[in-house]
Amino acid sequence: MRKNKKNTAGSRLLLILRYAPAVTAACLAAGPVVFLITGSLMGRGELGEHLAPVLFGTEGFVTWRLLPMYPTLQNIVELLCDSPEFFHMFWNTMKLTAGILLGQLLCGMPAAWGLARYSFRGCRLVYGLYILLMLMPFQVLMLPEYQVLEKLSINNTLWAVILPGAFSTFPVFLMYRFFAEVPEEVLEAARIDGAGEGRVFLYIGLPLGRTGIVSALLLQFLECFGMIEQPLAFLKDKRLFPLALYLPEIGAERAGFAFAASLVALAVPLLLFFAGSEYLEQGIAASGVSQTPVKGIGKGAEDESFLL
Amino acid sequence: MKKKYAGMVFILPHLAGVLLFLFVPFLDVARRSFVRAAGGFAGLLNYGEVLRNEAFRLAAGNTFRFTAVCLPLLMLLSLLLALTVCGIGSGKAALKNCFLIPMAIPAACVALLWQLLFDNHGMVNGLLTVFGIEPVSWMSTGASFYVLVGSYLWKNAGYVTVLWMAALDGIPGEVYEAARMDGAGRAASLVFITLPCIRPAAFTIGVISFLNTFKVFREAYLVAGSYPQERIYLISHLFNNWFLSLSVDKMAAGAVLLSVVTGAAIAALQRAWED
Amino acid sequence: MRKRVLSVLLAAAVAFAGLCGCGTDTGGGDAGGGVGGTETPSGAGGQTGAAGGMGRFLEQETDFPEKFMIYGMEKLDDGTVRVFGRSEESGQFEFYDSADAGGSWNMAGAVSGLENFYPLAGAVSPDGTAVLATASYDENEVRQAQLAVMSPGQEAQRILLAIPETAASNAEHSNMIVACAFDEEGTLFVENLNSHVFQVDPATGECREFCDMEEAYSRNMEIAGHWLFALSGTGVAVFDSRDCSNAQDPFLDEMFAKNPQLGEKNTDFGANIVIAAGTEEDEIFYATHEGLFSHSIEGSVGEQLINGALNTMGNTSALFLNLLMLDEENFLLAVHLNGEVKVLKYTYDSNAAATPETELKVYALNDSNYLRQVVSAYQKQHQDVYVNLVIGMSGDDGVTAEDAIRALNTDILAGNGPDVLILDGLPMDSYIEKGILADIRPLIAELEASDGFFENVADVYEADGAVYGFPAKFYVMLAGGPADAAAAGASLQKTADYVEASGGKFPHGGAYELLEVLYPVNSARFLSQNKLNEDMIKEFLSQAKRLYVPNEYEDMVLYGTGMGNELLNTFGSVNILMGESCMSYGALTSMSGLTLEAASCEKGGFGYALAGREEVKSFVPYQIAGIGSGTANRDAAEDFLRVMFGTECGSIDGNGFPVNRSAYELLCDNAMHMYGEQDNAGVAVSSGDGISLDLVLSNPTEEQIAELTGILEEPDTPAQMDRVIKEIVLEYGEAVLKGDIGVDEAVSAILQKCNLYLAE
Repeated sequence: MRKNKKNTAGSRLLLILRYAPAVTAACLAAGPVVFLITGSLMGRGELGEHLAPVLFGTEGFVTWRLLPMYPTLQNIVELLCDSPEFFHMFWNTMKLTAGILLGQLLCGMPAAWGLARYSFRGCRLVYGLYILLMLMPFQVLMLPEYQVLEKLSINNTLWAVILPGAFSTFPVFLMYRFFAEVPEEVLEAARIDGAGEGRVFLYIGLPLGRTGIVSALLLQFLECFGMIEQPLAFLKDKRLFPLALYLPEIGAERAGFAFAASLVALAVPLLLFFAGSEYLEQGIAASGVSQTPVKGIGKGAEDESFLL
Repeated sequence: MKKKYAGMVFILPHLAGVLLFLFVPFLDVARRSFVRAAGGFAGLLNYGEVLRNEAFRLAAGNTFRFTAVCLPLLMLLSLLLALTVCGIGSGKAALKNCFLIPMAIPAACVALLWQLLFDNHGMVNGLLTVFGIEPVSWMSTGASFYVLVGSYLWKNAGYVTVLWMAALDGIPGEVYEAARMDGAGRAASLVFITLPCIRPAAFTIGVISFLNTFKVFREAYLVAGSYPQERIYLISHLFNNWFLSLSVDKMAAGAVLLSVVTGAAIAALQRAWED
Repeated sequence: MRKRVLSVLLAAAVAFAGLCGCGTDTGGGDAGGGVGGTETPSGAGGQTGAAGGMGRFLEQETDFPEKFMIYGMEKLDDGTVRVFGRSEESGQFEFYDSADAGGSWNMAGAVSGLENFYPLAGAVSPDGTAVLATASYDENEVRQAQLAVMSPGQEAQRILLAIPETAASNAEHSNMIVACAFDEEGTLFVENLNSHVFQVDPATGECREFCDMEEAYSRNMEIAGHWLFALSGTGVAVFDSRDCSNAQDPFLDEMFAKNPQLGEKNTDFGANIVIAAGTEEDEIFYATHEGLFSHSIEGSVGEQLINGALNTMGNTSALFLNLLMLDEENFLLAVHLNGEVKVLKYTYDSNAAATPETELKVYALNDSNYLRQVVSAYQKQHQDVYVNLVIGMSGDDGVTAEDAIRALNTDILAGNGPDVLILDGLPMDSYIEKGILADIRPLIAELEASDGFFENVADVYEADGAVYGFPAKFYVMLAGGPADAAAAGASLQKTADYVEASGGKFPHGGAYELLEVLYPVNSARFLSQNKLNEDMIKEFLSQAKRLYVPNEYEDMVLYGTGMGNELLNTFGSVNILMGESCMSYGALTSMSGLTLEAASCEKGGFGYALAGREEVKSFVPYQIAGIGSGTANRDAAEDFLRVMFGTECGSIDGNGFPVNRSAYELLCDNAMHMYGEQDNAGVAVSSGDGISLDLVLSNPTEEQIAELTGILEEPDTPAQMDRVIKEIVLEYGEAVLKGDIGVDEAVSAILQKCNLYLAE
């Protein structure tokens, strides 16, 4: 009896120990969100009191509390009701993101597949080039890129941000790894069954590389949401500016409002993670062979709709 | 026969875009590195100037040091975290989503938070004084380097963990099952199965982490401006400032040098990896 | 973004000398002048710009008498255009008529019986009579509203208005008339300070309430035909003057809501919008800084007929007095600009290109009144050129100086650079080194030969026989007060010693503002031969620290007006008279500033001299202009610089002194007649503590002008204008002043960062 009891306590401790690092890390990561929520619920007066040492250089230190003393929806109301430009910029961001992601899906994904699964003359070279170009800081390529866009006369349109973004090499690089891991025998089997190369990619490559695709799209999505330099360089018309440029504009004097705006900006990617990522993965999985990849090749998969 | 060309067909649309939007600009940068900003062929003059430039040396040194500290630290920490998370049963998805939060917080907001935390009158110093420790001027001393390292780790650890998790998920359960049948312990299966299996992924993750060391500039710039404390003055700061003073010749030469060095490093790494 | 603290704007007292008893409390956001909403598009139109074809309205200044303040302008039934107002030269109220649509103006007669009459508002009726409204006081000092009715050559008839009791919040204000106007049938309407509009019978003085705009806080009214517009900062109410019915016009509502400045009236200097009747039933025309538009009441669009950017309308310093539509192709507009009233005529020219073929791109990092004046003056002379003024930092968005410069550099390198660059705040030395700027030496030499320069300033900008950028204006930092205070201004050290010894206060706003005032004084020596002078920087910070007293201006934030921030710190010994400080210190940038200073000196027996003269004699250049080497419009760009450096714009008072010597002399001549023949004007200044002071402002004397000229000729070194160095020094300076870090720590941080900058 006693032994048994001790055992349960021990395993419980073990369980806690197993969870502890992960939970701590998650808390560290999510901490600022709590901070943002509290901040956006504080009135100007209360926030000013907390933040005065940094914003106005008064004595003392910045303090914070978990729950606002005088909670108010003022910031959020101001943001949602009195700031049409916020929504305007929000939609700009959505348009940019949609364009870039679509481009990546249509061009980037096949490219990653092509690089990962086929060996042809110069394929190593292309791969190396992709990595090298990926590592170039934006400031360096900005000027010649601007000139290219000028030649295409798409400067100062959303396309000036979408097109270079759609052809960024980073997602390709990420997807490459996952596509490379698909066992060659599976593909050979499909080919023997008479599947063409396109079919092999659609019905075997995509489902098996789904984690990679989702990861790449997710990261690209976040990248698009945070873009600052590209729009600033290629868009002159302020009506085309995305959300990320709205945020630095709010300034420390309107911290509460900035918190609220950040929170809303953050909400979209978060909702997408929570609601979307599983669904996305499943969607890709359902498009081809399901749980047992090796067995269900080719046939059977054809009837199912291709969700992506 | 069809297979021979299929690869190229898959790549072609994307490659065309890359050539137009990235490679052509890159060639232009390479061309500019041999030309003076005011016009006229310069030969290797620009390169000499850049290599002698004190600001470049400082920035390159700082960037190297930052990368050398951050990269191994990030890879290791996040791998450990990934292994822990993979081992647990429920709540995995929720944790994963939490990990991704730092990536989603807008840079401007991160900068504001950083300011509130690490200002001379910031929260961290407030906390230190509570415990009777002298406040530290985080942003104007060498401590700024560690603030930047912390910022990088905080922002990237989560999602690198997610990448590791994806790689770990890719290892078929049967392999572990078989190993256990053979009597391998937990440690043994980690060393002999897990690590070799995620080796290819490690290369990808390493390159991505390296890529993101450049992106830390965004926060550093928003918090500390173009001329931050000496030790966090990175190559991106320099490129940014060179562009502001229209020194595109130096910037181009610096960029070519940077790409040669990183390109060589990655090629060597890749070779070592594939052996 | 740098937070700006409110400054006590004494200069405002001078600018509004006509309005006696102006307080000297915090000047608020008015500091920068009318900038804010200039970007807001006020109409859906823009047809002139869009259509590529031929035909455009051209502007022409009519030969209208000088120094004549217009109170009313109307087209009479016989087609004559009649203007009523006061001539500053004769001091009389006079009628002027033009039978040829503004081609020539003839005096139609003066009015007698209006001595010591200070009009608040006026109007001309379609039958040719004019009215003026004023406030008078009965034997019990109770304010009454008085109306004067006038016809040419006759004595004015004065009657009291019987303004009925209204549910006004302030009874005192109900007899204060702010606007009056006639409708097309000759019915007179007046609006009082309580925002009530009355229909008036000028024969009896009987008033009948027409509408109540109290809630909207209306301060201005316009009538076009039978439409009465009650304007306010929040919107506009439209009434039919015949039956008082209310018209709904969402288009105008939205326009006023978007641009609150439109509804405000700047006393009798004019407004930001004027409205005129059209020929068709519901047609109106309105002029704003965007241009001239036609609109149909209750319609949904405003069609742009004239693009304001191409003429005087676009000058944001201009205030509009009256607009008349003569016929479809001719408009008359009376404007108040730089202290003068002009009547402009806009005539449709079917042979002019709809948009000028040449576009001259002028780039400036910050907006400035001076630049606007130059653009407008240039535009008037060159109607075939369209000046596209690009402001890098408009102040109402988050674009930082670096963002703006990055975008500008990209444009320059891609071959789309501006034709003319205003180099203030831009990396001028880098631009010269990289060959971005063209040599303008011939142009400068030409101007030097014809007009002459302040050589001490001009010489600085010539290096190796070439000139790449040249300042249109400059100003100096002065220190003044009692004799020992003026003497103590010789160096920062002495100034601080004096302030400490006297136990008084050094005049300054917040920490950052103090540093901005002191920075030009010895920053010229921060850098020599590309090496930083540690001692000088240390001296600057330590003395600033000694002079600094934490005060209530610190937490006040002035949201960027974006215009002329360099000119905010005004020199003025009136501070000493008010007991607010022990000396005066700051920038002297205008002749009106000089007269105020002279008046204070007179009263207190003060003197002044160049600040920091013992360490280095420096001036602050302002509006440094250059030409982009890649320009395709070299001639147009040079013409633009001729206007910029020329006498016409240079002789307008304010924003520093012209480097052009002829312009400066003209400015001095004008200044010596600033207050007309009466020679003086009184200004009352009062502080929050209730101390009040009466000053008599006089035209500057020859000696005062000579003294100023002497001071302006002294300095030979420009203050350190490099944006990066200034930002770094001021950032750490602020931390030092606020006690966050020590002077030594700040100096070493500044050295480290600036050295990094110089090493790049």
